Amino acid sequence: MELTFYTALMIGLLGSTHCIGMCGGIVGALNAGLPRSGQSLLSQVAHHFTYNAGRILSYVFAGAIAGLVGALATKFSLDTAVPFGRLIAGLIMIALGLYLAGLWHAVTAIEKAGLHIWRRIQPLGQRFLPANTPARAFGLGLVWGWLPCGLVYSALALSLVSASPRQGAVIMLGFGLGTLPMLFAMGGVAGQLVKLARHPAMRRLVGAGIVMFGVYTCVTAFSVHGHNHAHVDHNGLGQDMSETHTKSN
Amino acid sequence: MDCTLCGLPTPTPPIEAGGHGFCCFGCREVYRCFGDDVLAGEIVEAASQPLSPPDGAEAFLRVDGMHCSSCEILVERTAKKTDGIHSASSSFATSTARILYDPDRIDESQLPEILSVAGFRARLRGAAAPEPDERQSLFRLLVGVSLTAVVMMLYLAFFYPTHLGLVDFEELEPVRWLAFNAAPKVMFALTTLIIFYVGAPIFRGALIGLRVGVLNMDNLLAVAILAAYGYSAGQLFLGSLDLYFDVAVAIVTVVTVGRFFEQGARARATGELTGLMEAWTPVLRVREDGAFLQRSVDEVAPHDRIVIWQGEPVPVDGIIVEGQAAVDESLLTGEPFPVSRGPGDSVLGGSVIVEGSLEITAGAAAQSKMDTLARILWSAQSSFAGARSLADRIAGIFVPAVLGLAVVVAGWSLLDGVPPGAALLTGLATLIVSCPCTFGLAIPLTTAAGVSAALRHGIIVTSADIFEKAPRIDIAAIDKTGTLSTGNMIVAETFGVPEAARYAAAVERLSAHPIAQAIARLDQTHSATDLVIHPGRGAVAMVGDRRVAVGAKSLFATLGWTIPEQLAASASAHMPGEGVISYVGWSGRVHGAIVTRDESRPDWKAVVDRLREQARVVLLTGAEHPSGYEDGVDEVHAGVPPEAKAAVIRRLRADGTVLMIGDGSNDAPALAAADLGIAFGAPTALAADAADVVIPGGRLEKIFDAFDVIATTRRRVRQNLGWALLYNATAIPLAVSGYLNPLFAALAMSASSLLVVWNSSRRIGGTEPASASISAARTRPIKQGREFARP
Repeated sequence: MELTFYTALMIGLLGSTHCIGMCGGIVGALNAGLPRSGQSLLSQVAHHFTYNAGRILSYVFAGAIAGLVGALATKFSLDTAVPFGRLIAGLIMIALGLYLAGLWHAVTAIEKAGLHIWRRIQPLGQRFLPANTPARAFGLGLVWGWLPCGLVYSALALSLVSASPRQGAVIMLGFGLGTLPMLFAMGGVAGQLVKLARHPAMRRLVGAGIVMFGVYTCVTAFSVHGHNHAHVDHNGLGQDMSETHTKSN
Repeated sequence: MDCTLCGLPTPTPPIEAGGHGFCCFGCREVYRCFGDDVLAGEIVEAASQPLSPPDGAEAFLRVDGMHCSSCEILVERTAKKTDGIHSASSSFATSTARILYDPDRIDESQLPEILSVAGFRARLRGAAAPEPDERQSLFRLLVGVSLTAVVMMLYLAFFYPTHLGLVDFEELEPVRWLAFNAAPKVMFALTTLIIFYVGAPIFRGALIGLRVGVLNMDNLLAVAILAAYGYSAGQLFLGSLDLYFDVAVAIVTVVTVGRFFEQGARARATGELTGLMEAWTPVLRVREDGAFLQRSVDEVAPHDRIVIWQGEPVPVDGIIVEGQAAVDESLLTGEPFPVSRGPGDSVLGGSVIVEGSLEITAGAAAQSKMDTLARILWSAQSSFAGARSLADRIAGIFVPAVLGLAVVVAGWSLLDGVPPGAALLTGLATLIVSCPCTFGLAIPLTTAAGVSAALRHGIIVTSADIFEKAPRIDIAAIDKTGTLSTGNMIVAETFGVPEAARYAAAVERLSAHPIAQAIARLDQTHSATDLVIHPGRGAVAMVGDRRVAVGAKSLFATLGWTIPEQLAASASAHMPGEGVISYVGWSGRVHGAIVTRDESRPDWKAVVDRLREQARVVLLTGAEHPSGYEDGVDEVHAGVPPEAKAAVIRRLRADGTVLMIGDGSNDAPALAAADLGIAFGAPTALAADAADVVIPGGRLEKIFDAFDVIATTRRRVRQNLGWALLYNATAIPLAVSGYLNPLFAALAMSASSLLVVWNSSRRIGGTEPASASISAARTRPIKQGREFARP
């Protein structure tokens, strides 16, 4: 697996300290959707699992699209598009880090752009309320994956510059997995985490971490040229199959 | 300013909605969607209280043809849609359904017809079983295997060699027509036949799933089969030879083979239980005017003469008119060996005639204890609530997730430039390899096996969820009277002149009081007349020419007779625990005293000692004195009336999981309050409602058998669930990454299902219990039964 995957994972992991306060509300809504009698740990886990599975699936899908757009862009432009894209992605990450640290709110501008997509998708979410079955929780997750969110957009920027649908999807998968630990923390642990996440020092620390990733992405933007070609070998997995099973005329 | 929702600092100006400030658009949208509730951290759902269904009649049906939890849902929905049916629950693991209906609007005999939809065959409990469809499934299997062999041979001859590059296309030139024209068409025709004949049950299952809106394993299989078949058929008509008929037939055949064996193993796992249940709902032969008539249990009137032959269960309680037989009463009384019964003796409904035959007259109630028991069991069987909901939950998450995953994987491969055929294969492998069945089977089958294993030990499990409860017992609360003791009074000691005991026995023989019964057994030489009962104090009667009084101190106070100081002192001094002293007197004076006490069970000490190894043992008794039991236990709560026992149990539960062992009637509230309730004695409806386990008869050490069965069953459920998780966690990533081809996926999936079925059907509680239970008596050759029979 490659470095951008881990970068995305770290964005998810660090950035989700922000989600825990915000998404706590959605998680609360999920819990309320559970039947009173059956609020067993198992059913709670099932709901959270499917909700998050839906959410991550949406991310992966968005990542694949971003990767596809990136791939098309690279095809029709000079090779220089990729390094510049990486530079921009790095800058977005720096902005995100500053935002999480509470210093600079520029990322909200990108979020605002995402609102247009969200306005169309959000009404679908009403169908899955109350989220009283795992299937509905899954649907809800699918929809809420599109919630305008600076974190998601910075990870998507990485997908975009990967210029491959598969790579883009993998990056978003990494991001989604990164957000899991925080969102899966439940009960008393969640309360402690929220407190910790709101602590200014913690926010600065997390912000600084993401800024560092952003700086790293910017610095290496021009040095990891040709990097993109390495993925072709990865794609070979599917092709092993095709060799043995493709039936030629 | 901080964000109202997440508490992070807001930008200036903040993003606003509804008078609140938010840090980002995400938070604002969450608030907009869920409103103010989300700020409080929880959303309260207006829960509509379901009305409790009106009382109605209860019917149990056997429903054949159910094979997954979506079938259960369909049966239940069909029933509930019918006017006059209040509620329905069903279990595919035990092929049962329980219907609560209004007898004024619907007749019980109509129920089988109503439920026989979508290929299910329903019949009432006790109705004759139709011919099993094993032959048809075998025929299907043979057709599938042989036709698949033909398709595979064609592939081997013309397709695989070229695909693998072993043979060049040019080399097939001489047989060109055969290889490229005839063979594909034959393969198409055979595949069509295999899919739609052999694979019909799969599609039926998929349709049932769709009808009830639940995605199941069959849906995954159906999608996979139709995708492979449809793609290949399309390619064939377009003139391409990119054909995957091999995949389609392999899935169908492998799954059919797997299901065939699964069916057999499942039938064995639940068959025993079914046999036991049907043993209790027999058709009877009633002798009327010299002719035999077939009747169902419900139609038997009191005083009907019923003929029962060797090997058959006694349908109702009754009195023997003719015949002599060895009767196995193990399930009712716990007595391990068959007992001999002859004319004039009473027999209990539910016992089995091991040897001989009987003609009995039905008792006044014409109702058998076992019938009640059977009802209890059927209702436990048809509502494996915990198991069902888990299977549902898993299928609800799992199947859509797998479908989504397969689509994503196939789409992804396509985007990546993999040829459509190979992308399809990867998607198909993902669909097939995932096995929600293993989850669905893991609990219900094992639970059914556990219940039937318990029955073989003469233990009745009345609520299947004990297998999911905490495995460890911290505190064992035991009732004294009727549990540690038999509840029968025995004479502990006699004092005074020898005539006292003889006269007392004569007087007390006329009384039905338990103490009187104990005293009456002392002697039979005298007889008494002119009995006068003094309720609560004793009795007075004439023995010969003497007026003899037997009773408590208060009786003699009333009579004005004196009690010698010395006698009273020695009786009190020797009083073991809570023994009861009865004085015996005549001619105005007390001449003797008899001390009676509750008889302890012979094995109580050993059982309590064994319990103490793993738990704190608390004696819970209504009596004021623990009467000798206090040394054997850790803690004593004496003088606790039955209604307060439940409160004690609730208090004990603060310290850990509580096991309550008591008798089924007095201790019912306490049994219900405990984490695990075990009731001894007669298996009444009350006991079954309150306790999780009912152990008929008085063999205390059977609780350890019950523990064993529960622990083994629980372990096996875990193993099965663990396997299902492990299998899916390994197989799905393999399929997604394209390492698994659909053929092996189908094999792996079937093998996984079979493993779970096999594990569930393994015998629970390896050692054969000493008691000759109903099932043992039914399956064991009669000759062996003869050895047990007393002359």
